[in-house]
Amino acid sequence: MVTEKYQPKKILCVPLDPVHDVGIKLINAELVKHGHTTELLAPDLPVESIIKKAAAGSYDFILVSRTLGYGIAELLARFVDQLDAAGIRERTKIVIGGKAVTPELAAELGFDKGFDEHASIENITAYIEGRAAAAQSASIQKVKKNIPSGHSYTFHHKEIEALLEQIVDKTLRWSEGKTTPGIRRAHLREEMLHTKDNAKHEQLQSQYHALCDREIVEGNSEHHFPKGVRIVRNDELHDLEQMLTSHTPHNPVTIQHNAGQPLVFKFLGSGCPVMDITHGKICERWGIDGFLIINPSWEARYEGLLEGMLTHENDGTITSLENIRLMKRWLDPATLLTVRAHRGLNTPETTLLAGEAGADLTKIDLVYGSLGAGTDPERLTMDGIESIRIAGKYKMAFDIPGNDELSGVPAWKTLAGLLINVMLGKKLGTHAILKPLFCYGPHIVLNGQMKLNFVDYNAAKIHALKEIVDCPIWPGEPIAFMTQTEDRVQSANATSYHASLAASLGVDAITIASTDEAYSRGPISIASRIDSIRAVTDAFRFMGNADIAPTPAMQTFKNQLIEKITETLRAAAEADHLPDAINKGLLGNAEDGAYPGKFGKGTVTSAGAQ
Amino acid sequence: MKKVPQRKTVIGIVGTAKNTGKTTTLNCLLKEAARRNISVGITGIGYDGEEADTVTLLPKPRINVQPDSIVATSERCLDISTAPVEILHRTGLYTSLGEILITRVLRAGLLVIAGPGKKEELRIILEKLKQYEAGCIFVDGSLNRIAPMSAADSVIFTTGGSRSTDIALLSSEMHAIESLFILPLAPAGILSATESVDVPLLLEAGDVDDLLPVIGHGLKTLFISKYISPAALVRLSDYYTNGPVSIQNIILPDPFVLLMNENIVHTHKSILKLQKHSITVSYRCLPKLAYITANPFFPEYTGNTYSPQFLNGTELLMQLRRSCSTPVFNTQETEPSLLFNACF
Repeated sequence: MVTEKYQPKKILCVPLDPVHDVGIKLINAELVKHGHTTELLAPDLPVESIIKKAAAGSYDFILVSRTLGYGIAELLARFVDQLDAAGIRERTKIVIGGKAVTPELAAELGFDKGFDEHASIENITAYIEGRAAAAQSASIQKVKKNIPSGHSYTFHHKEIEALLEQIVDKTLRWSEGKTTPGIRRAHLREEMLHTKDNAKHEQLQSQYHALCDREIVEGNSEHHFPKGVRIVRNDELHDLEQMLTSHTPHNPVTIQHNAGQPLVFKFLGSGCPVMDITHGKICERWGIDGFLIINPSWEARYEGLLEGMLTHENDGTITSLENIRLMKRWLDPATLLTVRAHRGLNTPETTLLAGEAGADLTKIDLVYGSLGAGTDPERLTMDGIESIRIAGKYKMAFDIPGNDELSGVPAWKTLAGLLINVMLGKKLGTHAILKPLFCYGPHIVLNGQMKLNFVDYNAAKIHALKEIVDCPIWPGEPIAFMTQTEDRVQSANATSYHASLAASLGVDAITIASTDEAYSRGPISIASRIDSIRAVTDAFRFMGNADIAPTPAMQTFKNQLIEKITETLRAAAEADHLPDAINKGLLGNAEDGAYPGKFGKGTVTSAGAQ
Repeated sequence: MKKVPQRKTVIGIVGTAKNTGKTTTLNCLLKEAARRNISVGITGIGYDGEEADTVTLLPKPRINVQPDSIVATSERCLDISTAPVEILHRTGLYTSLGEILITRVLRAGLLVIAGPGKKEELRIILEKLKQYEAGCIFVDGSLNRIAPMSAADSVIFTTGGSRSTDIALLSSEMHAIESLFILPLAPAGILSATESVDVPLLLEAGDVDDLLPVIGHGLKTLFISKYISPAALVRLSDYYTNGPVSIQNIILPDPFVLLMNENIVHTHKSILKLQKHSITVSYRCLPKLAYITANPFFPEYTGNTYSPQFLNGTELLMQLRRSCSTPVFNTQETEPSLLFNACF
């Protein structure tokens, strides 16, 4: 197996530990497979015997394994001294491996190299063969995934397809010739971003501000920002750069155990882009695949967006172009970035900024944005259609979170709403991603679908959607919602069980919460972010390519869901258009706990009247 | 312009254990050298200057360097040091933290040092530091490591609570260490003037048994050119108790070969036993034992963490002084000029 480039080496494997010699046995076996000549000593031999063996053998390497504890450092240092005194180090490199071994400790003890318990056998073999640098850089190379690729967007359920076409066609016809302040601002912003003429820019800005609320104009013109908002300082940016350029993450890992397991996303939205990036870099080291930037809820309520690199001393990070660009600059090129656009009055412009800043995905759900997030259905339908067009222009897919289920809307109504968005994307040439909830939602609690287990109903949602359409599925948002408690261990466990189910169901991605997400009483802590990532990594390793088998109830739930989704869509198809269906409560009503939003009501106008 | 002493001197700082005060002593000497405007070189045989101990995670003193100091350290240490440096030479020698670089300090600051871990490489680095006009070169020790220190002209031994919390044991150990430094230098030409045998290594007791046919009949001098283990030393000393052996001289490379043994008191007893039978034990190379420092600090393991604790400092100093004729200081309570003068 050793190529001509890597000459076979003579290696002495020394388990200095009295008991724990499993690691070095595995390394020894791999080195033999690679064609090296090795000798594995028995554990706990007297040091004199080891040195005698080392002195007689003309080895290229001596690999020592030892778990560290207080006093062991001195023992190892003495061993290194004895090898040095015996003249063995003149021709032999000595390497230490074991728990808690760092490069610094290896240097302190006088070893040529140190590997901790996270080092792969391949890393060690590569070092022996003189190809350490190449192996290490290869191990941290991640490739950006394209979630929609591999899905045809073909509807298998023909009645549902026909109903969705009716609803979407009516809605698109209704939207023709209409506009909103949100759409007009997006167009103005696009022109502002691409004009090089200062006078023209000023004129466009003036037109833009004429369509904004006073708070936004004051923020952009006079830097009188809403409470808790300020410009990020240069020293903060300098410190961030210093920190990120002077540290290299040790032992980056991937979460998935095999290529078929879902990508894993987390939220970023501490309010401060610098803190988000810091958290983001740490999550990347633990293998996270992507982030969803969550904006402040007040940002959705104002007409117009604040400009500049801004920090916000509260939940939600301001999705200005500069903030998104800052995150894109520092996050790994392979990390997927989603920008939430759909909740309020700036949906088209946020999608535009996401596209301009190089984000990979955006988040748009016309139904949830109206029913669960407070925006007028007519306004959000108009803005959402424009956003889906913009997303397509920037080749961004959009994910559709079914979080209206958390208001109490039954799953079938939520799933029907998601499917309307998928058809809209299909008609407008943009890829959608279905995001059914993996949650213990209010309707489920009241109606007992999860009384016996959390598996059947969640699995039924996925199987139902897969039977209806070939479209990527990304359970969220986050998975295990309403099953987590303040106990971080329980929270990590709940996340890992739901992640296992997601892997078993072959979905494309999942969003996971931090273990203190609902209980942090302030910014989420780094440790709790890592908790849930580590839990999911272990769950994926545990599951591998195995499946979780639901009970027969899953089939019943799935059939009911498909039937009720069809019924919901039949009713919605009778409405004049999507906003009409939402206003009539066909996709969720007051009884369910869902109310059509009021922000932006009356702002849809004729395009000719602007 | 820094003063370069006529004779360039290498001073090694050796610990009997981790956390016995090597860095504190080094900082004290560097401060005094700066006050006297003497050009200094600094390197180490391990890793030092970090904020927290790599094992106990307790805070550690950090190495303060002054402008124009010539420092040999590993490339990755520069990223976490605050003192800006200019790179004078890339040595092509490596530690686990990258290539060892010869650098000149541009502005005062903190420096993390990871120097050569091997005896032969330390000699190469010291020559380089001398080439760059470092007049007084300090070699920072690492844990209880000692083998590379044979390249030093004089050594300072640090001991204290971190080695043992038993003051009587520390005193008897330092007495043994001092005694091993008092053994003579081998007379020049002894190996050619007497019938001698060169045995590079004596490791297991059986190795000494194998040697008996050689050393028992007529040969006068045994030269152990690399290393003798404690077990082999005990067996060797036993031969003289059990019957006549012709060897009268045992020559070792340096005292560090004996000092790297875990139980120095036992090693010293074996030497005494040989001396009792009129055997002369001497060295090919013998650095000066400049002085001993005593540090009362020790890390106490309390469940999952370590907490700082202290021995009775006065008692520690008094007992060590009673056991050793070499000067003993508590670094933090001694004038830096006194510590500096005592190095030479």
